[in-house]
Amino acid sequence: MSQGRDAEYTEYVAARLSSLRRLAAVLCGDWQRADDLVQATLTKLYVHWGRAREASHADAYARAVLVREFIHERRSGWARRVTLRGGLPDAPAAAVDYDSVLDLRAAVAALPSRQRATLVLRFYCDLTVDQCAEVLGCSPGTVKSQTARALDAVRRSLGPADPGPGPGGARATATAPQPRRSARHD
Amino acid sequence: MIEDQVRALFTGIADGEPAPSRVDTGLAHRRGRARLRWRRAGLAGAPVLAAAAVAVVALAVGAAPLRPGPGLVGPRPAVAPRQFNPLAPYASFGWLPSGDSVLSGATYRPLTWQVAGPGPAKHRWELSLYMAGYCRLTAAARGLACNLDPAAQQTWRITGAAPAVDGHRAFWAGRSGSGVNHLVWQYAKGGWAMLAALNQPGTAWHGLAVRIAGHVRYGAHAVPPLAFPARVTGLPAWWRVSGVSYVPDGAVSRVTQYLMTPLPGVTFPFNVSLGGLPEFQFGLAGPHSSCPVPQGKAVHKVINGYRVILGHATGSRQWLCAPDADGVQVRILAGSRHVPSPADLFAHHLHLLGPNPAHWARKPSG
Repeated sequence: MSQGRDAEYTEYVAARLSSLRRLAAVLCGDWQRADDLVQATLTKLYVHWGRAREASHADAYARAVLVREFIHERRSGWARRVTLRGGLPDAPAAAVDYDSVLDLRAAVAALPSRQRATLVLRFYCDLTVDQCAEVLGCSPGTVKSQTARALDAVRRSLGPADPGPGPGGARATATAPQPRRSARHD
Repeated sequence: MIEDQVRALFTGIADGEPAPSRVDTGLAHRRGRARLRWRRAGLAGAPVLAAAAVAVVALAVGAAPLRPGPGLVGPRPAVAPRQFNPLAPYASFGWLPSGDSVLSGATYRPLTWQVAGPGPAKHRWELSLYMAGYCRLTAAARGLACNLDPAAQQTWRITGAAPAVDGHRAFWAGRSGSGVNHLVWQYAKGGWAMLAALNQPGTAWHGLAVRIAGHVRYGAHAVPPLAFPARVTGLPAWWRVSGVSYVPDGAVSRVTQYLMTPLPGVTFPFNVSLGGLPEFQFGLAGPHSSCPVPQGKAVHKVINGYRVILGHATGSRQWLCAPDADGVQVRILAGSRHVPSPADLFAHHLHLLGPNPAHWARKPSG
C-alpha cells in the first residue's frame, strides 16, 4: 500500500472513528463490545482500503464491513460462549420511564444478530429496504421479512401493550424541567 | 408505534456519552498490514514504510479535531461541555462577599451548581452552569429558555442588559412570580450560566453579582475532590453515577447524596421519584441519630449488624434508613424491577467506609 493510500486511510479513520463507534454501540448495545467490533472493522477496512476508496461512497462501504463483521461475530461459537447474558448497554436513552426503556433494550438485545442489524440499518441509519439489502447481502424481500419478524418479536417481549407512550410523549410528561432545588426559586 | 420506540432507543444510545475509546487505530493498521503481507506472500515487506504509516496514523488521529475537554481551573472554557461529569464538578465560586462561603453543590449531567451564603435561612447565591445547548435566547433576546425538551421548558424573562462577564454578553433576568433575580451570562460557546440572588431585594446586589460571575472557576478541578462514604459493589458495570450532591469538608467535598442509573446520558434525571433508580443519601450520624419515618407501615430490621428501617414510598419505590451505620446515616431509595431492593443493596452491595472523610472513596463504585 502506498504512502498516499496510507495517508488517505488514516485521514478517513480519524474523521469517521466517532460515527463508526456509535453505529457499533447501537448494534452491540455496549461500548466495550462496540470497540472490539470497530477494531476488527478497521483492520478489515485497511486490508480492503483499495476497494473502499474506489467505492462510490466510502462510508457505505465501511458501514457494510462493520455490520457484516457484527453478524459474523455474533454467529461464531466463540462469541456465543463468551457473551455475557443479561448485560444491558451502558448508554443513554431519552426517556425517564426507566423500566420501559430497559424492557425495550432487553427485547432488542435478545434479537438474532441479523434481525437487530436490520432494525439498526432501517431505523438508525435510515436506509431504504434496497440499501439495507445491499449492506446485508440479501434480497429486499428478506429485509422486509426480517424487519417484520424483529418488530413482532419486540412487541411480544413487551407484552400486549406498548411500553408506555412514545418517546415524545414520555419526555413531555415525565421531564422535570429543573432540578428539585429550583423550587426554591418559585 | 413500536418503530418509533426502537428508533428512539437507537438514537438514545448513539447520542449518549460514549465510553472512553479502546480502539487502537495503530493496531488495526499493523494487523491490516500483516494480513496484506500474508496475501502478498513472496512480495517484499516494507517494515520501514509500515512504521512510518503507524506513525502517520498516530499523528493524524492525535491531531484529529476533538471537542475541547474540560479545562483546568482558571480561564473560561471556549466551548461548553456536552455534558457534565457528576464525579468532577465543573464550576465553583472563585470569589464571594465577606461572610459568605460555599454551603453545598451538586452536579447532574445537564447542569452543575453551587450554593453559597452566610448560612441557612439567610441570603444565598446560587450559581448554575448548564451544558451546551440546554439554554437558548428566545426571539429578540427577550428571555432565556432552558431544557432540551421544548414541552418542559422554563423561561427566564430578561429585564435588561448587564455588564459583560469576561467579555461575554450578560443580562439581568427573572421568572414571573418568582421574586428571585438572576444574572445570566454565556460562559462559553453554547453554554449559559446563572447566578441567582436569593433574599436580596433591590439592586444593591448587582455589583456583587457581576464580580462573583467574573471570578467563577471552571474545569474538572474547580471543586475539591469528592469523597464518598460508601462504595457500591457488585452492580452491573453499565450502572453509572448520574448525579452527586456534596458539601465542603476541608480538603474534600463530602458526598451527601448520589443517584445511580443504567442510562447515564439521560439529560434530565432530576426528579428521582419518576424513576425508581437507586438513590443513596448519606449524613454524618450523631449520638442521637434517627430516621424520619414517613406515613405508612415501616419495618425495623437488623441487616449486617446495623439497625435499619424499611418502608414503601410512592409507587413501587421502597426506602431504607440506617440511622447509624459505622457513624454514617444511610438512606436508600429504589423501586424498579431492574434494580435490587434497598434492603438488598444495603446488605450485599454497599460497602461502608466509616465516619472519617479521609478514609472515604474517590469513586462510588467498584
